[in-house]
Amino acid sequence: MPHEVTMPQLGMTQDTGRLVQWLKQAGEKITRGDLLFEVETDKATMEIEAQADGFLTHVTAGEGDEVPVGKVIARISETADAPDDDTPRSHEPARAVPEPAIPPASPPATETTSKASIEPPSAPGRILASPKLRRIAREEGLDLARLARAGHPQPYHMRDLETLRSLLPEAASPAPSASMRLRAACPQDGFAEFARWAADAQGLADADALLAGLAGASLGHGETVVAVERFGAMRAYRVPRARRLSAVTASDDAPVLRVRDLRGTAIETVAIGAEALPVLTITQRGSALEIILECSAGQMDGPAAIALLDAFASRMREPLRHLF
Amino acid sequence: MREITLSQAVNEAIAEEMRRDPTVFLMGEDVAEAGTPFKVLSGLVEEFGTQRVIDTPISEPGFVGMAVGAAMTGGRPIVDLMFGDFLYLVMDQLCNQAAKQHYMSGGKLTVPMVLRTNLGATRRSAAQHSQSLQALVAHIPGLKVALPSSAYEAKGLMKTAIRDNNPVVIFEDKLMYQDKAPVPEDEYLITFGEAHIKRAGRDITLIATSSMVQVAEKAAAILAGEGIEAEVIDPRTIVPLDEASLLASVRKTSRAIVIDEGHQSYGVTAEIASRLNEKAFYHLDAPVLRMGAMDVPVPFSPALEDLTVPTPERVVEQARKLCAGELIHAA
Amino acid sequence: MADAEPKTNAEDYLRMYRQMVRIRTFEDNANQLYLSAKMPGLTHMYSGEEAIAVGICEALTDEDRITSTHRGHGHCVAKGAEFKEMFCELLGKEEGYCRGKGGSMHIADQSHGNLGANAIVGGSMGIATGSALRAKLQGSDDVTVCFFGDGATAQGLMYEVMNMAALWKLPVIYACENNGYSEYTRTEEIAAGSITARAEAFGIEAHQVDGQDVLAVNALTRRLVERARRGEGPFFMELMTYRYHGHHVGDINREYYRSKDEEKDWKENRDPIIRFRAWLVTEGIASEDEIEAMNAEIVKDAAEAVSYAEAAPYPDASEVDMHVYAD
Repeated sequence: MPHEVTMPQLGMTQDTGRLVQWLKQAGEKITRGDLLFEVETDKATMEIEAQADGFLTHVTAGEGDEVPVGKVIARISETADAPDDDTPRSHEPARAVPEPAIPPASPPATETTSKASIEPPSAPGRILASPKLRRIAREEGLDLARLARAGHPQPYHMRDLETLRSLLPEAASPAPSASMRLRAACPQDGFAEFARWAADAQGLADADALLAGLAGASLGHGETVVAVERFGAMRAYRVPRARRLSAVTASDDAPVLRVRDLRGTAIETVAIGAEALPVLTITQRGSALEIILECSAGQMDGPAAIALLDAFASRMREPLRHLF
Repeated sequence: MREITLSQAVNEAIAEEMRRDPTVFLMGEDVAEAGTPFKVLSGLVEEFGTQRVIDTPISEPGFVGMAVGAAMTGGRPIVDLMFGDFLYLVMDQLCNQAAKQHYMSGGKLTVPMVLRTNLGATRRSAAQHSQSLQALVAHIPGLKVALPSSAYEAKGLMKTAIRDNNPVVIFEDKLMYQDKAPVPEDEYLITFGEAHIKRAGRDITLIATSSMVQVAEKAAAILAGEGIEAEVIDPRTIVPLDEASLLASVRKTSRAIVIDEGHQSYGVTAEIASRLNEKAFYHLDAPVLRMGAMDVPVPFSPALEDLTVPTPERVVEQARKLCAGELIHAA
Repeated sequence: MADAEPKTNAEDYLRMYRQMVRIRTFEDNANQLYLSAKMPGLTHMYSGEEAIAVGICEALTDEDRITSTHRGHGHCVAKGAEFKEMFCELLGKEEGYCRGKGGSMHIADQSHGNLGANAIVGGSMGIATGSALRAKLQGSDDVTVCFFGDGATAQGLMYEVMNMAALWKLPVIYACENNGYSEYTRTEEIAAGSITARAEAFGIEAHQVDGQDVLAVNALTRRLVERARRGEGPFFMELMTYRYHGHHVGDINREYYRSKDEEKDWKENRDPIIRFRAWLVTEGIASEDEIEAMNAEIVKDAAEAVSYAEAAPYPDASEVDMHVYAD
């Protein structure tokens, strides 16, 4: 089983790291402890050691790239020419959250409910689909494995897109094994004070737009659409690549992430399971906020989920940081 | 608009350019009084005389080499190579000499010559008079390659070729010499590297060269009856290649078949398919298919020869499969 | 020496001598560049054959064209090229005649009518004949000389183009430099019958001449060029000569195909430069001192050109795909 090399988190507030250079080349034999690559954060540049023996393969990050913390940037495989598999999780054994190559300086306030809860879906083998359908599905956050689980014959083409979209509601009650649930906590006053300041000093009165902006930025992949749900009502916002919360605008496009704001309700925590989109649920527990991320393994892998939740929790704790 | 044959179109293009530019001359086997075996050049010797319409001995390397030398020193020769199959005889002169002079001299020497020849099977001419060898020359940097698909293209491309300052190889399909098409009486040129959309469609792109454009258009008509709208594009020159237009079409339709009468392996279709794969991969909903001539020497027997080239029916069959999302060549 | 043309112009003789020494000196430097690994690739030395290039090219104008061979430095110098641009080309530098893209085997100097060396044996015969066809079609009176070796007489292209040149009376002179060896094989082993007879079979007037006698070569060429200008061509010359080096600079051990005694005999008794120098002194055209001074100046010129070329820049990487197609 290949070992995944991820962008390490070197500090609590770090969202991304810049890959300075690879110290090993793709295909090169790696021994655990070898210096593998060099990362620059806002604080320092560090050389990162390999955490496994094998061969460096599937290098997806180039030198100079800004990479979200936790994102897989390469693998260490058993052979130098390990096959590419677009849906590796569908046939990798279940395991706990993949470790970052270097453990964070202090553990993030995240936990998983259980190992079983992030077990990948068990669609057998590789899914055959056209490059275009794969791209559209990725853009819309759709999991092609749903088609396979629903028994539709492969290969999949654009003609199957509508079917795939229609499968989503059904998939909202997923097999428990396909669900991930991650929890984080932070003080409640950080965001509350920030929202007041933004409304008074900056004229940004829509707190939902602020929430959407912080959540969208936490995804770390450029312009995106985030929905905010409160008391059952849902509004979607387009979050631009730039970190300007004033540029977050209402949108009719399909969101890729939902923020369910349950502050002000009696609910203290949730365990709904994966839905059509990854959902960040915010509840209030005394003076703290609890933030739950629920998603399916098909929507987001472990490291990506960790990165999202940690980034969002950090922003909720100190929203001003987001601006700088 | 008046309609003339492809043969007349080529003849007109050469005559117009010879009138316009006194350095243009023609040479080749039986180009003068005979006007070539296909009678494409009939009448030119009467207007321009044997000084500018020169019958040569049957010495292909010799007269192609002489055209190179004339072109390097101020002439603009049009060389007639009676059959495309004879390209093998002139490869040194065309590929080692003509193609490389400009580069080897650091840009000081130019070779403004046209080599006009032909391609196309199903004329019952067997293995040495039926080949479509455009891929051979398209492989060589320094040569330009034009493949007219009708009388209109034949005239416009020939005139552009004669004015081009590089060696240009033009392949005419020898079965199309009598095919008529609308050709304006007013002068026009066709810019190299500009593909032409022969028919617009949304479901699949058929990229076709030379006479295969007709095959693609017939296939598109049949497909339209089944609700499949095929877009037919003719690159017109394969060097230079209008990659942008081909990519734009495929990004729209998500599917493509590339059709050329050269042998399928290592051919023009492979090159174009490969570029689509490299540059439009994430827009493809099906594998890009190549359709070329079978990888066999062209057989004589009509019963066999007709099996070796792409036909509208075979194109339709493949297009249907692609549009239906059938598994094609999956391991 | 053959009877000289009227001895009215001592300057012409001195220029011929000077050009032969320039070729020899160029080749000595090129050989050194190769041996000291400063020159990429390899090259073919013209040393020993200087009287041919000089005797012929001194009978031509800049409007007259030549096509050259893989053994082409001599033709290039004789047709008027400069050392600097030539050494730059040999070293692949931007200031070379071909911007470093041709090298030794493709050196061309359009400004003096040199259509270029050719790395395909016999490959330029079509080009030369085509140049002559263009001259005839355009009513121009320039003549094209096609240089080639005895080895190239085995190429079919030669017979195709000689046939057409004879049919159409083209102003082309085929100059066969017969140095006795077709690469690593004696010419007798690759050529049946007579070489001049092959041209004669097409009705082409053919001459055999001592290629080590620059005045003989020059006199014959001037007569043939004049006649070719009047439409009496084509002509064929077989010039008997010898190459001092191997087929190329790396062909060092060659006793399996020719003896050292044979090489010594040609160098000591038939060298075109030694012979012509003696004639110049005997005829009172130049003194030994004047000749030594001329030689020294050429050696100095060559050394400076080599230094210049060694220090000259390579072409920029952006040149790599430039000049594939003309505008």
